Amino acid sequence: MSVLKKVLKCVLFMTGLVVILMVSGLVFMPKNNMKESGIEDFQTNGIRSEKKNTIDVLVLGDSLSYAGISPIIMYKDYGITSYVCGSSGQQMFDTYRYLKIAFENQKPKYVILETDALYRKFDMAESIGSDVQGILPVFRYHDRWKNLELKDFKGKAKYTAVNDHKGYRYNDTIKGIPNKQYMIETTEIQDMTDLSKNYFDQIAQFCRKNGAELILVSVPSVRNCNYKKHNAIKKLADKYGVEFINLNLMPEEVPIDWEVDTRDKGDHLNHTGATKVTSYLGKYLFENKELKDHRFDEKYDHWNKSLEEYLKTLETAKK
Amino acid sequence: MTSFFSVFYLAIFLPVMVILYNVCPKKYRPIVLIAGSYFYFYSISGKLLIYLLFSTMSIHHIGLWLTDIQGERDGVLKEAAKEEKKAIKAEYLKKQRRVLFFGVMLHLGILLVVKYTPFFATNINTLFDAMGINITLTIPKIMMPIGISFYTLSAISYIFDVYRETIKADKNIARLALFMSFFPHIMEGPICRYSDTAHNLYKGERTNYQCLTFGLQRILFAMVKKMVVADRLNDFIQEVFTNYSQYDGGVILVGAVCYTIQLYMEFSGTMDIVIGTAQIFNVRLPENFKQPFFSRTISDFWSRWHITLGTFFKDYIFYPLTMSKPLKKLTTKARKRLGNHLGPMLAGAIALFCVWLSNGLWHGAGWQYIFFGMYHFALILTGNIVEPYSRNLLKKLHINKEGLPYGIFSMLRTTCLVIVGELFFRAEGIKAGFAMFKNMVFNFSITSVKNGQIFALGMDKHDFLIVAISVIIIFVVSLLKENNINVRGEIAKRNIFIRWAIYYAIIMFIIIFGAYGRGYTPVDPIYANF
Repeated sequence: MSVLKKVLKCVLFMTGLVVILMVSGLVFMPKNNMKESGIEDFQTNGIRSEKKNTIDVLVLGDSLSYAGISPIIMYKDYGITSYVCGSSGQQMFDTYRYLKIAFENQKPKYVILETDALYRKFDMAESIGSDVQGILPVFRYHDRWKNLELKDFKGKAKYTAVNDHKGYRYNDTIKGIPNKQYMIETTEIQDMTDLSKNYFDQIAQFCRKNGAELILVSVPSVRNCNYKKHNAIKKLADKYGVEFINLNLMPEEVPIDWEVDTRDKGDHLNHTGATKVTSYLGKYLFENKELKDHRFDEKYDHWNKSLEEYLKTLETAKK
Repeated sequence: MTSFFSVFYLAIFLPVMVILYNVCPKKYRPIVLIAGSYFYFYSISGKLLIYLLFSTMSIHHIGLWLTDIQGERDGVLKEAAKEEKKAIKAEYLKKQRRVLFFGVMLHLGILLVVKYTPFFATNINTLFDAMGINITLTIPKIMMPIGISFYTLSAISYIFDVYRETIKADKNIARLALFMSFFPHIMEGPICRYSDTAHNLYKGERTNYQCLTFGLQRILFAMVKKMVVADRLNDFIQEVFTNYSQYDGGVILVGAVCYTIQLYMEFSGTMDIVIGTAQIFNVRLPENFKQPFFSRTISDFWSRWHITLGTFFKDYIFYPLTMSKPLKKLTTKARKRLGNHLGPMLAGAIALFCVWLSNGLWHGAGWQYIFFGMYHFALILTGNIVEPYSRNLLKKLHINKEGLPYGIFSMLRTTCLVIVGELFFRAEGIKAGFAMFKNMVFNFSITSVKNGQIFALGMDKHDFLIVAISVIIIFVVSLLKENNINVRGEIAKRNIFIRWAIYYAIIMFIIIFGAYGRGYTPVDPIYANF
């Protein structure tokens, strides 16, 4: 067999494989965005069923974002429509992915990036793997073989599940720690990896291209934030000319009581902590940014329904 | 880079190495392999690479030292009178033995310090405590370079072989460096012999179409074993062996069976990817498995499982011991008193005991590993002792030992004994092992299976089903191999449509049923930690 023939055979084999993978991706891709349909991070993917161009503020980040920022409280108090596309242990390649997913159907004016994701380590293989999963979803959703139904073989994806918490994950557990000063001033820097910076650059460019203002926000966390990180993020923010709000350094504006406002000893905020963060952030955004109050706008009636559902959840939780 | 099954290894490192290797001129290819191997080692163990470099340099030096003594001896012997020759040989043998002892102790010493110091210190503390001595040794945390248990044995075998003059010491340190560090076998073996692999590796033969496709096919098969079976079983096994006191004997039994399957799939799967990778570089590494679950006896099992470790112990511990003067004397005396069957067995038992103590300790610094070794020692010794009696009994009962029914019975019996051994091997300590064994025997019940509790321990019904299907497929392949049918060769004979359909089916089987991604914790390379 000539070399050319061997190469051609390899190319043909690989092409066939890609076709099979693409076709199986159509089958394995969840057909809706509710938990039961098998979609990953169903709360995050709730953004897919928000009405077109109704989200003004998009929040990205790891668990600190969905534990600390509640869009529905922001809406209740200021009429700002936001959505938290945060997910557990979100790495920057996932942050970038969710940013693009959100912009498929929305045109948010502001994109808030919770900064803890900048410090999540990953390697090149993981980011390439995520890109491959994007092109060939069978790799991401292969485990759905356990729940495949006939409709998976013929149906197209249709996202209908509205998330009333808008990506926020309610948690009222109290597991406090004594209040102490954890932001001790220093000039030292704890830098993030080059890969994280690279993705940050892509996110910044994407926002600029799509006319959204990027804002960096550090949600209070004793375990995850320190002054060295603050210095590094500040440097990055200055380099890109983006605003950086470190709520860990604002005890007067955001008076977190670590004895009661955390669910896991200072790692994540609980609901009372999130309420404090959101109240400040909502006020700040409303007063300093160009955002409309949508509470009395008929187009946003569905938000009032979500607010009702959210309040019901609170009542049930209190009982 | 954590394992051969990581995306980085399979999608980046290996393809880059294959391209670099083939693009380079033949004489530079070994250099490419050495550089890649050191990079691989460094990416896992960092600065501990120094251990490997030291081992390589020391065996190079010791090998040449032994050769010098042998050369000097030959020179002296040429000139010597016939009656002097015996004395000269003995004198030089002594010299060689000193060098051999130094070389072996140097390597064993490093291994003992790095691997066993915490174990010895803990046991000494326990002993002091029991004796009421108020001294507590601090237990040091020593970082262990990856694969030290494997490359140390390769190094020792090299020194021994030069001493025995079965090979000549290699002047080329680069060839030795490649023999010691070749990245596919550095982490989990196989334990290579210099005479089998060093020159073949250093040839730098180009990758050809057949070795590429056969190598890739073997890697695919490895992925089925590791990703579909071993990784899928991981959470269940972890749960059963950690919280064993919460479960009935039925769950413990399933856990022990699953662990035996996992260990086989993980280790033999890794060997498949190792040998498949080497094949891509046109290098043949020794096989480490030969359908072990078709073994009729425990000693047969150990000639099919981790073959290179077994042959190492046989060649460098068992035979030297049985051929030693004291044991030869013992055999002669014992033969007179105990007869021709049991007599020679006494010396054999001593050598066998040393082999299995070493085997247990090699697997890890823990009493459960020593117990594991002693368990197999007891089984093999018992098998040897009762063999003539059982043969006679079978004859009287008119049972054909070579027939299929007795064969199947023997295989099942061996498999059951292996499963019990693996239960102790995996248990978190020897006490836990006995507690689990007791639970399995005296508290046996299938209630957990009936009420479905077993399906909530990290594996649901679907998971068990896919593991069962995969095990059946792998069993059929093993059965064909056992009957000397070359599966890859047979597939290669089919027309392109059938061939490609099989390859696509295997690839999709791995992609769909592999236990990877969110919610799965792949099993760590088990043997890499030994």
